[in-house]
Amino acid sequence: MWRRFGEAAYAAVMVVVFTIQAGALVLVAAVVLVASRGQASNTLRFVLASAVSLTALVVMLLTAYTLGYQWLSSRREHRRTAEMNRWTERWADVVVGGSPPPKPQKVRGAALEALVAVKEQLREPERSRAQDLLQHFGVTAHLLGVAGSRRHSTRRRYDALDLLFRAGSPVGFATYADLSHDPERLIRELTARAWARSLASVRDPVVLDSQARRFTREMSDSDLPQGAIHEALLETAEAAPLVLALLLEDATGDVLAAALDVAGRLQCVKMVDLVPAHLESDDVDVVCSGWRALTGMGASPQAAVVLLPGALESEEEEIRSQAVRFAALLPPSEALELLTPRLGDKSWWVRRSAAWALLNSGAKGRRLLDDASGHHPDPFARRIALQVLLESGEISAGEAMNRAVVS
Amino acid sequence: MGWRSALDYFEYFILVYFALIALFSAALGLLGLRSILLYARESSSTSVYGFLARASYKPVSILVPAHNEEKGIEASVRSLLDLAYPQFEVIVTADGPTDRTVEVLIEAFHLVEVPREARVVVETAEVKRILRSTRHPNLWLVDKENGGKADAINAAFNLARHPVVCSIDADSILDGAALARATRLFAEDETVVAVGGTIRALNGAVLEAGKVRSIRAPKTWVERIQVLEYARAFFTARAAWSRVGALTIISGAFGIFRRSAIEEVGGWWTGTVADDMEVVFRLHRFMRDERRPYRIVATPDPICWTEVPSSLRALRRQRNGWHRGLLEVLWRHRCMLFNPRYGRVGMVAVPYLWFFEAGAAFVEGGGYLYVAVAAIFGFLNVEFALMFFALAVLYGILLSQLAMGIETMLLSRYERASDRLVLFVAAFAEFAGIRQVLLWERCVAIFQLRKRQGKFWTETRTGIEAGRGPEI
Repeated sequence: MWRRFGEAAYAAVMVVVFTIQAGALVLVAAVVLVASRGQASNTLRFVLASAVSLTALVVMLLTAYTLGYQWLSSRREHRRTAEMNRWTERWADVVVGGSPPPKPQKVRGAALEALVAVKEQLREPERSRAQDLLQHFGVTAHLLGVAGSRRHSTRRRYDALDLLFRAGSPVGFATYADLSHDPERLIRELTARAWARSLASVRDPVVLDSQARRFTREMSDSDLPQGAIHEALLETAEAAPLVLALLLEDATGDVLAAALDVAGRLQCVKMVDLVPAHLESDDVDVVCSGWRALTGMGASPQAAVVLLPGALESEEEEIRSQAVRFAALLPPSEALELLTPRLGDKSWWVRRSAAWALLNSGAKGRRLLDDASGHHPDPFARRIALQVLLESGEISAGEAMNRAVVS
Repeated sequence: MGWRSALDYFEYFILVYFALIALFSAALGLLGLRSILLYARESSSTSVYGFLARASYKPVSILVPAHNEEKGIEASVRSLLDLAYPQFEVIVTADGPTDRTVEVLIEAFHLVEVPREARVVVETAEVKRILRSTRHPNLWLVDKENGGKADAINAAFNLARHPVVCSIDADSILDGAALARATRLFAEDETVVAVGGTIRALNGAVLEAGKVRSIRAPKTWVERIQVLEYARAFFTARAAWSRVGALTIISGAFGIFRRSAIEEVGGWWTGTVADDMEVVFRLHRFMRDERRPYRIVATPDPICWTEVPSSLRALRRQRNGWHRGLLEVLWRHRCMLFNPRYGRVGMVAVPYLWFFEAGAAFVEGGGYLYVAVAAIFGFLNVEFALMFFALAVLYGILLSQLAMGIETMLLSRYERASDRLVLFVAAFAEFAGIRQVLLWERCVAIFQLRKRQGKFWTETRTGIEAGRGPEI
């Protein structure tokens, strides 16, 4: 982790130092080249002596600067920690203890960070009280103003967006919409996260519906990496069903794959019927995310089940692997029939998934895996069955060794 | 042209070479500084811990090659098992140790032999057995015949089952959030194939329960000088090369890779000491040959603490190996030199390595030889030679101070003013003999290329426990 101050000053010092040094070196090189033609040896001596003196001077300057920075930054951190502790106690007294809030004043710096930190730690109804304080002191408006203004330094804007994300206030959507087109990638990423968390705190269904539509539209048009979209979608929490349903209907490519993955991870069973349509997509990532989503939801809609045999025979290793995991959700009689041949799949990952799926398919599946570990005609299937039994703790290491030797 | 004129021209050549290398270093320094400052501005603790809490992380397989590590292996593995990361496995490879490395691990972690189906992605020396801890289900040990470090990593890689693999030296300790920070890059950007973390010297650090609590300047000058070297390398040069998309090395002490990319290039090559550099070269070549978008990045924040050699003898041996490795890799991938197909890597980074890394040993050595010859034959301009030497020394110190200045912005920095002063003096001390000894070693390495190709595991370490300084 890095200190988040002093870097601009250091960069400025370094640019000055190296500009001077580069000038001196270029001069030395130029004079050397002249001297190589038998001229200006006195000039060379003078330039070299000057370069040495200058370098010694900047070394001393830099060392003094570093020591000074170290001393000042230690003091500053000490002071900041003390201020944070004082304000945290004070806000906790107001929100939890019922003390009166401080007289109207600007809440900035440590006071602002402490209030956001306090809100983050609380649950309702104290959380709402902290939100009222943020509103009362104009904190959210101030942060939105900083984040949205290009007059402020990029670092201040990052910090403001980070605090907005942590505060999770149900306001600022217009600013977020503007910022989602910012030329800075990180501003767009932080905006997506702050926006998602703000959506999660909206309680009015009408506002939520209109803002969710706006959010999904912007996400679909954004050029954020899939991982960043995935993270933002996870932040939508209570608003996720609405947001994800909109994305599953309209989005494509990376955004759709991220939405499917998040739907599975958040176990949004309500949108199970929206998933099978994507299992026949041309985009391998989308198909894999679709199977993963259904497995995550623990649901096996008929529209997906009919596509399963095809997915298990897919040429794409990842699709087979995900389909095998999904197969474990089927009734044991169907699951075992589909999974057993996959124990001998050419891909290690599919074999492994099949073995785990069998293990999770009830007593019969476990017995089948047990049997496969000793008697399956394919040695790869025997070994993966044994390994999964061992990893799951079903058999001991000694027993696994015995079976391996016997088979 | 008489021999005197030839020597004069050589003298001028050295001066211009020095000016060029210094200008290049200054440019790298500034670029690295910019890269780090941007990174520092972007990173916050919220983003990392939030990332873990939202479970959008990628599970990691940590590969730990070990040879004769009986002294430090237990502490090292324990610190890995304590990592604050939701899903990972540790695969240690005992590469034909001749000491008690395997026995120490078996006793400490209750390892038992198990059958395990390993995918043979890369052929390795014979694996004798695979063991698993009964106390820590995510700890595996591969006991195999000796095959070198790269072979040991490959053996562990064959067992890895997570989408991201992290290779780490057996005498290293990872910072608490290092894995989360590094793997976040893989989760966010599908084109990232490798991430190099920052390595810092563990020597002198104060430990608490296997974690670095605070850092202090090490005891010996050999170690202190390495503190400066590592700072220069990781806070300036590598950050700069990463910024321009031409990073050619990810330290073997801590490198994180996308497993699928490593599978495609066929694992680590066993024919060189510099397997860590070679695998990065191969990733560049493969991705560019295939015209795939990719990123290989160095980050200044995921930090790995590693024990650096504490004696000059061990340091010489290490540097001999590094220089041989550099030459082996450059020769193996010589087709990349000035090859526009490989973009900035081929047109800038590889030429830089040829001329300013591999070539520097010749030029610097030649410089000292020239001074000796000139002194013997009485035409040495003492005033000129001294001024030039002073300039070179001061410039080297300036680069060290730049890197140490960046280091002060880290939260885990050398806090005591006395340590800072000691390290400042170390920047001078570097030029008072040790640098010359290491230069000699690099020259020797050139002549040992054929004889010792790919040899590894020759370093002698004091072991983490012994070398770490006071443990609390």
